[in-house]
Amino acid sequence: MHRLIILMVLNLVTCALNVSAQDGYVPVVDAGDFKSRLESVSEAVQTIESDFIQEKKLSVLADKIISKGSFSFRKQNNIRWEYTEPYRYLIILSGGRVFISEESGQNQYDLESNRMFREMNRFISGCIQGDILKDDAGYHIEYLENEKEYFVKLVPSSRVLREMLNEVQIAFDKADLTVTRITMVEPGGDYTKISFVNKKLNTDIPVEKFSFN
Amino acid sequence: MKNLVLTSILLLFFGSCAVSLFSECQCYDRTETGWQEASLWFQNDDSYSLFNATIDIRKNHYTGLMVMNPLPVDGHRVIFMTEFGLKVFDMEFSSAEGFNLYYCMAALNRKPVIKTLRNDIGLITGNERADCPPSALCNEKAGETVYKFKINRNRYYYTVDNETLKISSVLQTSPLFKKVRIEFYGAGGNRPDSVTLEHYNTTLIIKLAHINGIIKTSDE
Repeated sequence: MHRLIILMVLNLVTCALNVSAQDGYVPVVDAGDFKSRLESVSEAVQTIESDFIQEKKLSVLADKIISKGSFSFRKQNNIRWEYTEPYRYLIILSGGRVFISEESGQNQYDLESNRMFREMNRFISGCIQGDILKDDAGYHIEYLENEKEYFVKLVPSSRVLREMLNEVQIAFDKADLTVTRITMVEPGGDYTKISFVNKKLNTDIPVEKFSFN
Repeated sequence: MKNLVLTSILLLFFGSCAVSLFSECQCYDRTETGWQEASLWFQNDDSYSLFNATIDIRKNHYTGLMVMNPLPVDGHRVIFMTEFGLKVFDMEFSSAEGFNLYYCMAALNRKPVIKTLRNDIGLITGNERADCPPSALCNEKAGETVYKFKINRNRYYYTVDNETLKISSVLQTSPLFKKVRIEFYGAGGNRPDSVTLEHYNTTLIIKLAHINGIIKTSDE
């Protein structure tokens, strides 16, 4: 009986090791150290400019839908997210307001009175600045790493949010602790993966880029 | 005097109603055969269609991408998602298994809204259509034939271009009132270049514009 239990435990451990070996990730030994280094980097970064490639995987389609665009961030909480292919769509979050420009026209909203945009702002800036990792109440967080990156898995605590998102995965480049990838996994396995490329930190981004004119 | 006022009101009332539709058309004996020759959009497609989509429901405005993927046998899976990739709704129209709602975001997940979206998307994709034979009205001047179907209390008027045999518009009415109008714009092929759907009695507008999406073959 003892032998059987030992075998079962060994089997489980082996399986767990195999999974992380296949992904190349192992648990971070000192998550606290990673978080405090991330916070230091976040304080030092005033602006981020980047291109992004968004891949949408739907189980009903054999292929992925690809969108491309550019992203700009300026402290505090000024975000410009612009899709350029295959459609034009621009969203600017700044000064407590949201500006959206799309094919059919333009709209502005107040963040305070619009819960959906308020949550979106919190989520995007939280992911980019790493603040989302402080939200222990909002997410169950797992820290993993391989040679090149830290890989953080966040499972929403809220049942309502879990109906929309099973898991959020954020990859940080070990070289500079900036976000390289955000993946939003839905129940059922469909996902949206946003990869940031051509990143530039602390460049001079004019304030006009976040204005609504 | 009272009778005159009443008659005027009644004339105004009926004039805006379904009864006076297609007054320029003539009844025509070209019924089932003509309809069978007509070509519903999306019904012969063998791959997905990707649209830039906007849906305005009352005061809410949703934009994003709409994917229409044909099912192996007959029907479509229709997924509407925001630009950021988050699903707004995911529904399936299957001839074998009927209608299935896989997902709908909380803000829209109410029976009347689902019922309306099912009706509207079903009409656009041609999945909600009549099996009974139509009657036909012909407008030779405009080069169109209008096929009329009755299903329970509703009437459906499909306007077909006599030359291309493509459906240019669909009108859904009750016995007295117009309900929904859909306009299809396209040069030909299995999918339209754009679609506009509008309700008469509530604020619901759906606009689709076909885009050539960048699709990457899965390399996982």
